[in-house]
Amino acid sequence: MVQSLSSRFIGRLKARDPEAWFELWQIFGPVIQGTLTRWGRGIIGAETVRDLSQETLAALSDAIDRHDPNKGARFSTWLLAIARHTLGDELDRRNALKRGSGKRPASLDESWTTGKLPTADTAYENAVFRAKVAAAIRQTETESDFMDFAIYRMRVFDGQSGKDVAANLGVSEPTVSRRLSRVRGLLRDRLGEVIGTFSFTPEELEEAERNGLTLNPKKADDTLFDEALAEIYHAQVDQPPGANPIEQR
Amino acid sequence: MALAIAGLYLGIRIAGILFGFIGNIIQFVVHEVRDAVLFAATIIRAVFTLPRVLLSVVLGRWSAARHHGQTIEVEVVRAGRLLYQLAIGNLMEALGVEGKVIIAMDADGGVISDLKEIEELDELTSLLPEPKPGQSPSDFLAGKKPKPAKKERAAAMRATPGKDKPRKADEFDGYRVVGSLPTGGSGAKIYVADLDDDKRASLSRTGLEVPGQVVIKCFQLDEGSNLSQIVRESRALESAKRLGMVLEHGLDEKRYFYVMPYVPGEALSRVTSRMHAKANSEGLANKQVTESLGYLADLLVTLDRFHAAGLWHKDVKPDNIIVRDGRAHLVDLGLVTPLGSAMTLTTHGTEYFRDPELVRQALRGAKVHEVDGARFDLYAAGAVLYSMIEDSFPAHGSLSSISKRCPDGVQWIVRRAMADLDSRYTDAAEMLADVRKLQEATDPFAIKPAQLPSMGGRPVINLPEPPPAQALPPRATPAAAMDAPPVPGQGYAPSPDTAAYAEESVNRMPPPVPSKARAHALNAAREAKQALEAVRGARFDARDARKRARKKLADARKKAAQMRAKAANVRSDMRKKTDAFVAKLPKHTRDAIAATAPKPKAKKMSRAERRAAKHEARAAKKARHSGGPTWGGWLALGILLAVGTGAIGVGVATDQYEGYEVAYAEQDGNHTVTISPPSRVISERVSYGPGPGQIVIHRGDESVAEANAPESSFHWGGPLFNNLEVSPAPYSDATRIAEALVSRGQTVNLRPDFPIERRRGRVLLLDQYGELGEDQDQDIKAIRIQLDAQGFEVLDETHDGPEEDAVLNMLAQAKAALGIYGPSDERTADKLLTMLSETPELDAVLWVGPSTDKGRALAYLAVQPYFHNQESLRDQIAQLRKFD
Repeated sequence: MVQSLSSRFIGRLKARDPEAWFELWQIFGPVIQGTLTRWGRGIIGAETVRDLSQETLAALSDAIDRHDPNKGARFSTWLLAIARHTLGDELDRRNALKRGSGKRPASLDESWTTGKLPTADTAYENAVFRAKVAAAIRQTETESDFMDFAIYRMRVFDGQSGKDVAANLGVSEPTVSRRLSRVRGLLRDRLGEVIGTFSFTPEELEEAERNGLTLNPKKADDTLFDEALAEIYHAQVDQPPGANPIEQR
Repeated sequence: MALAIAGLYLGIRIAGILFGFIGNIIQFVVHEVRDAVLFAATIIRAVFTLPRVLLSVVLGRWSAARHHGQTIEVEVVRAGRLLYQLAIGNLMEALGVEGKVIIAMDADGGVISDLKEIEELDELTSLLPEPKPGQSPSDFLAGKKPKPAKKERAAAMRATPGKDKPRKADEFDGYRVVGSLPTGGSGAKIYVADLDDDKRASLSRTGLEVPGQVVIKCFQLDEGSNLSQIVRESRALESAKRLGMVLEHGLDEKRYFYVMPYVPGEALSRVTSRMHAKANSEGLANKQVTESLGYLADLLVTLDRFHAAGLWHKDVKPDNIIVRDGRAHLVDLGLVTPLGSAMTLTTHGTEYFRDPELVRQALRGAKVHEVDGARFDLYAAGAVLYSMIEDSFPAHGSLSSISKRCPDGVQWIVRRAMADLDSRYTDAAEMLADVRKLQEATDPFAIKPAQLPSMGGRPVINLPEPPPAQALPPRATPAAAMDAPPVPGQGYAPSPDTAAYAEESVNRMPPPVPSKARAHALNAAREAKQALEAVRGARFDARDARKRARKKLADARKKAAQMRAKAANVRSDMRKKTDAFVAKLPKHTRDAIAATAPKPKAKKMSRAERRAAKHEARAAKKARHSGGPTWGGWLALGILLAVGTGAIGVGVATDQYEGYEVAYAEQDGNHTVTISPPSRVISERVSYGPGPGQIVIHRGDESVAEANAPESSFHWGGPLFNNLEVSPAPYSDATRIAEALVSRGQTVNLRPDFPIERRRGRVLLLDQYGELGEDQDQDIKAIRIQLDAQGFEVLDETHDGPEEDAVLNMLAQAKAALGIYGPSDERTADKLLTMLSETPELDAVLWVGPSTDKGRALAYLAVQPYFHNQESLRDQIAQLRKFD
């Protein structure tokens, strides 16, 4: 089923559905930027990182029709391969310009078929997982009542006590508790959906459980779930921001 | 002694004169040589320039000819001066006789020779103004201001942050460019310029407050700007002019430019960095927080003006906010867009300060008037507040965390401004009221979010309703409000006098044209228009739906006709095959099959015939009860018992044909034909077969036969969620033979019915089999046949026609409902049931996918909740459990 779900998403990408591409960019864009920044530290600047991440998406757009899930690789690993190729291409181009050696950069297909898959390290995989969780949180924020989510944010992400939250917002503690529960339920649902959509292998599916996000409310301890989620949230949003804002006209 | 001293003095003097003379001679020689060389060079240059003048004249290049002519003129003048020096000047200098002739003329042109009179005249003229550097005598006499010297202009250019230097073509009538600003995303040149007096006077006459300097944004078509940019930049020009943000504009064949008041100062981003440099690592101090809120309040006041005027700034960010004298001014009108514009929404803006929803809407192709641009500005205002608090930008949008020390109320404002569109502040005034509350507090940390006006707390300053139109001040000085000089010494530090501060704030509110009431009216009109369009859209949608429904009905009828024709063909084919097959069987087998053939249905009797038959039956019964059995009757009974006893458990015949074992048996009056393929058996009996691997054809009183696919087994996971396992090759030869029996007029179900009651007649099929083998495809095929046989329309990814989108939607919903848990999970069942209850057009959702057991297929079925408690369903399930 998950394979089918994800295949459907790939289908939307293949159909050049702008919404699907936007969702993909929202989730994977920052991860790609972060990875390119890490790889190109000292070599390329923030603007180049931004350009290369766009080029990665453009290369993905060209290559998406050839995506074969049966190769067994994660989609994120495939994307990483494309990003690496894009960066390598840029570095080849620079070196060729410097030395005048005229070295021909490898095409994406060559690099994909002949080269080994990049070893997606733990940091990258964690970043992808955190991006999925962030997307689920964002969806929940959009769908839930503002006050409900504000309560959840203050209580879980900002670490305020229930009493403080109640006092800050002028509501009773049972209300805080009730609204927390409501948002938590929605979060579980959205986490299930987002992770299902953007996970392409069984081990990706198990990442949620491995990271303490037990999605079955009957089996899970709410406090543990909140703690795990807060930890992932802070790991995601507390990382130093990437490139500076750029005006787009 | 005295004589000696006198002699020494005289000697020194003579030596001095002598050395001076020798020095003069040397100087004379050097100057003569120098001037001779320069004279020769000048003459040579003039001579060589002359042909260029002539050539330019011949080619008609008048400008070049004039330029070269001027060069010759300069060279000739210089040659004359050098000649004079060679002939006279140097000699005079060597002799120490430099000509210093004092000639003065009086007003009548007479020569003044009296030295005293000349001295007096000098004193008088020293009192008169003198031409300034760079000011020509004609400009001086005409009273024109001097042109800045090259050095001064260069210094001015260096002082401004931009790198662009104006070309000759970039000069603007009435303005004198003194510098430039960095080019923005539009690529236009941005110059800083002074106004000359004429321009100043002409602008003053229009009622505008003329600023000290202006910014000229210039799009040069020959430098990469294009017409679409110009159109975009000019779309809000008139509104901006009304607000005094644009003074004038110009357009010709090569360029387009507009002139705005120049707000010198420092970008808010730099001010923020400085504030944080002074603050400790925990965050801003109370005073700095209040200062930041002051800048935000100023921004919101300006945004309120924009929105009230029907404008959307679209590029609010710290770099576009200039702080001068403690006040924030919003600049850069490059993306300003009318809120009611019919143009397509674009993604222009600045990342992190632009609401991602804007990008989403733009990708959808929404029009500007279909979105609430004012709220996108408020998102940016929230992001600006975030950047002031954090000294960074909100890299994670609304999820960005605030790590620095700041009041809960400020956090709340940031969150609310950057929240989802529906939860965001409705307008700048609402947000401003919250900001004022915190700004006004002695300790902003003491204010809780619940006390903010937007949360029901008491507002500090209510934005006043605009006065009636006739009471408005003259519309002539909008720029005054924008660039109003700050109250001395007040800045944005909160005034101790709340009332005065409030009054001052209100006075700084936008000029009330267009008024808030008008803005509300505009909003109401816009909403009404949108509602009207929605109604119109709904009407069109309904019409389209009717059309689609009609087409769907026609399609369904067509499809049904096709299926009937197809079924007839299949029946015909199978009849032929079966007849051929049976014809090759041994005679006794053929006879047995013939004996099992269903009896032809009795002819329907008329009413009179039925009445007669009934009468006859009653008479016969009466006769039976009127006496005991006759001898004939007892005899017949005995014969029947003998035949019956002899027939118990007897296999009459067995034969082999083309690998199939064909057996005939009769027991208890039931005839059984068993056709066993090499690995399968087909039998015909009343009850179910003895186990897996058999096809059992049921025969009942009504001659209803049922067949079961070989090796099928059924597992029911629960009343809501049903699990069906299908063999790898269900659509086997045996099934084909069973179909053949269908063709002979018997009713055969290839598989046990899916326990779905047919109400809507539609089943959504989620096919997970695409990448598996042929056998699994056969499974899907068999399931489809089964569903078809039960009269269901199967909706899946291959569905086409007008409902394609709707079906894909349902599939997407079902897939989303399944999430990551997989079909066997209870939560999935709950979700699917919820989805079904919201999709009444479906009877069930059937998921088919690979089993963990390799080579086997797995199917899960979710049915509508209204089936769940029905006896029939339970019965069916209970019946099917027998296959476990």
